[in-house]
Amino acid sequence: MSFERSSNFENQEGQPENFSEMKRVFKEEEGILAQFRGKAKGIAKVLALVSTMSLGMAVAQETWAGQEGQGEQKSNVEQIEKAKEKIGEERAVELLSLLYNLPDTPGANQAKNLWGKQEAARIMIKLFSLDNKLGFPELKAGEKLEGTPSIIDIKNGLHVIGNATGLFADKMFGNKDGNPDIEEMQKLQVAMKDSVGLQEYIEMEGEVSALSRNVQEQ
Amino acid sequence: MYKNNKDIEFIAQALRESSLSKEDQDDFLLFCFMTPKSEREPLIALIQDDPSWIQKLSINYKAKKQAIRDRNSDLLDAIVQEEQTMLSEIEQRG
Repeated sequence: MSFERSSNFENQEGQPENFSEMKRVFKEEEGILAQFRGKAKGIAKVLALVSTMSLGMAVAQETWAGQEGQGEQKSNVEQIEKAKEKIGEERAVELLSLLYNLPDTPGANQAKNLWGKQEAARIMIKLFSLDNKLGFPELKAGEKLEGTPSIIDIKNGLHVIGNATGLFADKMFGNKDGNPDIEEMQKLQVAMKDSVGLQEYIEMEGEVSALSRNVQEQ
Repeated sequence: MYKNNKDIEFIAQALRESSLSKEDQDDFLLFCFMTPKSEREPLIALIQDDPSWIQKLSINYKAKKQAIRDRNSDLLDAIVQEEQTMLSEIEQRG
């Protein structure tokens, strides 16, 4: 996926109209930034990336949320916002279900994809922000884990994500006995291919798992 | 040096070492997650070269988001003007 500045979002059905002035300024910025050379050129590239991403994310979010039939979607957004405020595995399963069930929206699929990815990233980050609100399951009372608090945060987050993913697979694709098995996880892998929200979430889970391993290896 | 998964690790570490608030750290990490892997390279190179850029970029990102959210083109113009001044100074310094 790539964010082509503004052009990807032009003429998209249902897009909020009043981004045009923002796009004009960013277009001017593009021309200004392109003039620089040497070290300044590298920095200009990053500033342009920040602009592209800021605009892309804003357009995606507002477009998707403002589509036709918004009643259903709005309620979906509200449910996600509400669920994000809650903590723990059960809520993570709920969030996964919502991501999995993002409705198809004709004319705004790209916006939906980006929005789905954004929400998945937010969930990841939210889980890492739980700090001391979740216990670290492998530690006994009074025992301390070597490493920085951030490693503990990551481990806590991954524990919640891992459990939630298994429970979600059991709930959606299994016998719903609360014990995820290999067959259910395989069905989850298949379902992932058709669900952008879920796909992004699982991809990020992989990215974060690798992050955790890299931190431990240092 | 930092490729693929290590991009996020590197950014997360730089954020932890910065003086940004937790909220701003999370927000910038979201930005990095959202940036396609293929386009992260100049960002990583800049922060590797000078970690203080993470703070400047976070401020730039926040300001742009605010301007977009409020549809405030005057603010956006001012941000671009500031970028131009800063880059001119860097270019002159060589």
